[in-house]
Amino acid sequence: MNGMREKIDRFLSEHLKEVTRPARYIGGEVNSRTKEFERVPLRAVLIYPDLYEIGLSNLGLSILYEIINRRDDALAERCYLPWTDMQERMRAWEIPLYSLESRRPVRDFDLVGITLQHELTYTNIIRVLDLAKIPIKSGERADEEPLVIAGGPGAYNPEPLADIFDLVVLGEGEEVLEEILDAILEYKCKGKQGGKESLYLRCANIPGVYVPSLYTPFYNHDGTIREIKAREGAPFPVRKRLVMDLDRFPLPERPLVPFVEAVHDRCNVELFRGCTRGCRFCQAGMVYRPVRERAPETIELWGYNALKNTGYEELSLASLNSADYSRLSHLTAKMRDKLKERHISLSLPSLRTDSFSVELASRLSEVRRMGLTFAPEAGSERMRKIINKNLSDEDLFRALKTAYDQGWRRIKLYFMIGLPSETDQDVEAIPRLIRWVLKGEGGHLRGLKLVVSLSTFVPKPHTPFQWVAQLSVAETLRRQRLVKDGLRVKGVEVRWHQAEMSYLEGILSRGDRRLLPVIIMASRDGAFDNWKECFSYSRWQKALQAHDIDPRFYVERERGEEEIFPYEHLHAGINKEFLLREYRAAMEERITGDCRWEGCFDCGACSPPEVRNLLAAEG
Amino acid sequence: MKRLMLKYRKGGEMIFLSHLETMRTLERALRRADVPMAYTQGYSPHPKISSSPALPVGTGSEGEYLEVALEEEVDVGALIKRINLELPQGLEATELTLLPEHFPKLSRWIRYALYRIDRIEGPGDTRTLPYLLLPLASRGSGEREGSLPRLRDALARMSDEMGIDEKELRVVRQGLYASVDEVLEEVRGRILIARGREALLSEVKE
Repeated sequence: MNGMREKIDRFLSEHLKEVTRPARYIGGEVNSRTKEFERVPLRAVLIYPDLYEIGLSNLGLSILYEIINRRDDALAERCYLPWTDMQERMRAWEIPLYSLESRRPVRDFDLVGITLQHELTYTNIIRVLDLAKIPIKSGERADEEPLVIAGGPGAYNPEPLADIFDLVVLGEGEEVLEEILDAILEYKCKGKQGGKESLYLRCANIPGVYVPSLYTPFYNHDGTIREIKAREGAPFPVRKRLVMDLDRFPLPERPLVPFVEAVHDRCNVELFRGCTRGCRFCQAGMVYRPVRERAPETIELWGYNALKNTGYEELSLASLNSADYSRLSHLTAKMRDKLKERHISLSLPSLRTDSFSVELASRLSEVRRMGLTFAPEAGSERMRKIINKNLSDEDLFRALKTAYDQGWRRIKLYFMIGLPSETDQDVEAIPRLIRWVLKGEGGHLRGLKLVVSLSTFVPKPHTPFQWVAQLSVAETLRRQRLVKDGLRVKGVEVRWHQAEMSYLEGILSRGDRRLLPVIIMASRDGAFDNWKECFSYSRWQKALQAHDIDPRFYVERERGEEEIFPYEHLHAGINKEFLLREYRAAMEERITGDCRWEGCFDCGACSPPEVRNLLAAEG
Repeated sequence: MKRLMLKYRKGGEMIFLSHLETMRTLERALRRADVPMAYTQGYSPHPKISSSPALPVGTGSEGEYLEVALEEEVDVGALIKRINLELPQGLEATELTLLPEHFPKLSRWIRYALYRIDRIEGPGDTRTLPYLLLPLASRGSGEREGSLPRLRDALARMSDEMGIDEKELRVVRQGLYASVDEVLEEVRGRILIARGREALLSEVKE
């Protein structure tokens, strides 16, 4: 047992000098928790299937890390995917993927928790299991081997990876994780009597737990799904889990302080969950409903403690749309003064495109200037109605003008191409809008630098646009060129997503179980898709061809209203009828309001009196 | 403005931290320890901290320095204890002093780095080789600006001249000094000094 630890230690001392950013692999960060492995009955390893500096900033995993480690009968350690130079050396020296805290092989844990984030990290999950020497499919793993459990935003359609997981958590993990741990602990204490099968049946009845092996899809000749059958005793559909009173689940008071600079290298506070603005392309805005705000007092107290325990110089108030927090002015006014004297800055990562937000950002920037990003999403007002983003050209101009007057000289703007029913006119409206705001009626915004980020729309499950077709690669490239050609303007920098990466995202986003062999093949062929320098679509073409799969079926095909989706058995809280109504409203260019202020639109997320929008301002 | 001088040791697995990572780790530990650091002005204020020259990744040190400008007076005796409670394993504050007002800045007085070199000859079997002294600044070291020897080249030359594999060397920065005399006062044993861009080695004699 200790022989492996020694082997790993020796490997690290001999080879860490040869790899980039070796501090990713040593653990020992301030506030990391190391319990005595042998003395704790239930051991979990939480894995973020991408690089350390990306995974470390994930708030969800840090909450779960805290919840598990607070228990006496369980421990949680962490693991990330090493960069390729380290992967090569680990393979060459036969070092299995290990946890950072106690440097145990991942396969020695009872439970391996993997977060499903972006589709482009799906091949990384195969890589993780291969490096850990754990069989990929749940059916191939013996009862002695770890249980592999997934959660996170990707869990709303985990189907391309469903055969991997013993269990999938749908929705928020705070409560359900404890129930799963209890079930596994009991199963382990009883000597795993009845095997994994007995555990499956028990867990299937925990609300929010999806056991993929209890469900079987059947297909029509044309490749669409005929039916998804649940085994007896398995719920249909599986409903997502929701935590109503977030204040009962405080954020970790001792967040980890990495040695390596993380992507969000600061304290991150969550103000609230959910968003009811109703942008029709946005999965987060649909599946995290209703809105549940934390109390400002809890946030303040947590923020000060976390800053004290980490020594961070910045506190970020994060949420889907932070400016919507009902007590934001009150909270920031209070915190700003206290933090200012300690030279700590406050920042809002997501802003609305309006003057209120900009003025707030300006007041928060007394200590350190924060970056400004606006997301008009579409260039034409017609298209913004289609996506339900109620923003006029003048609104954008006013927001930019206010920012300019407050001293900002560099602002980022997010746009999408390929939204449903988009014409060339809509695409050309993006450069036209940008030229117009730069030279708008309020006079030139001299010296303002705009960074325009152009992404390709990928239809997401459980959204009103889940039925629509995505652009082909060729058409994406053509429309990107329309924008780029129209934006050869001084002071404007255009960045765009690689067309083939968005296409791959589209294959997986609404994909089904038939894709797993393709993902495995692409991964073993070297795919590391999230990283431009490692991405290659030809690897995927090869794997798709080898399995006789036409990607256009998943990406470029418009779904009929009657079509059964691969995730039909998973309920994200939003009714399909509502999504369809919203899809039709989009095609008629009709705006749907925000139910925080305009009454209920019957999306299905609430069940009053308990489950509803909870705003801190109501007290 | 009052300044603190923190002398610290970098060992264990902390040797795998890059210079920037080390700086960030120290800065955050100082903040957790409530050191009243003075900050720069402007859009992006940061603590007024300066440090001894960067160590290569993978190299430890017995004595690095950090100079920290203060906003108010401190009790160094209590403070060094607080700092050590906040430092991760492998980083250790060994001395903390309030600098006299006219004490020169780090970059003004540090002119030499001394490295201790061990050769790993087998498991648990190491042999100590001569110390390696590297001029870091042209001023006062007799070196020409822009042609200072690099550690990497000096190590290559040393292993070459001694006919050993460079991979077997374990290098630790022993200390930073203002003059060769200071080195000789503190260190006993054979010392080789590297000179010029070619890192030519010669014996340091008392």
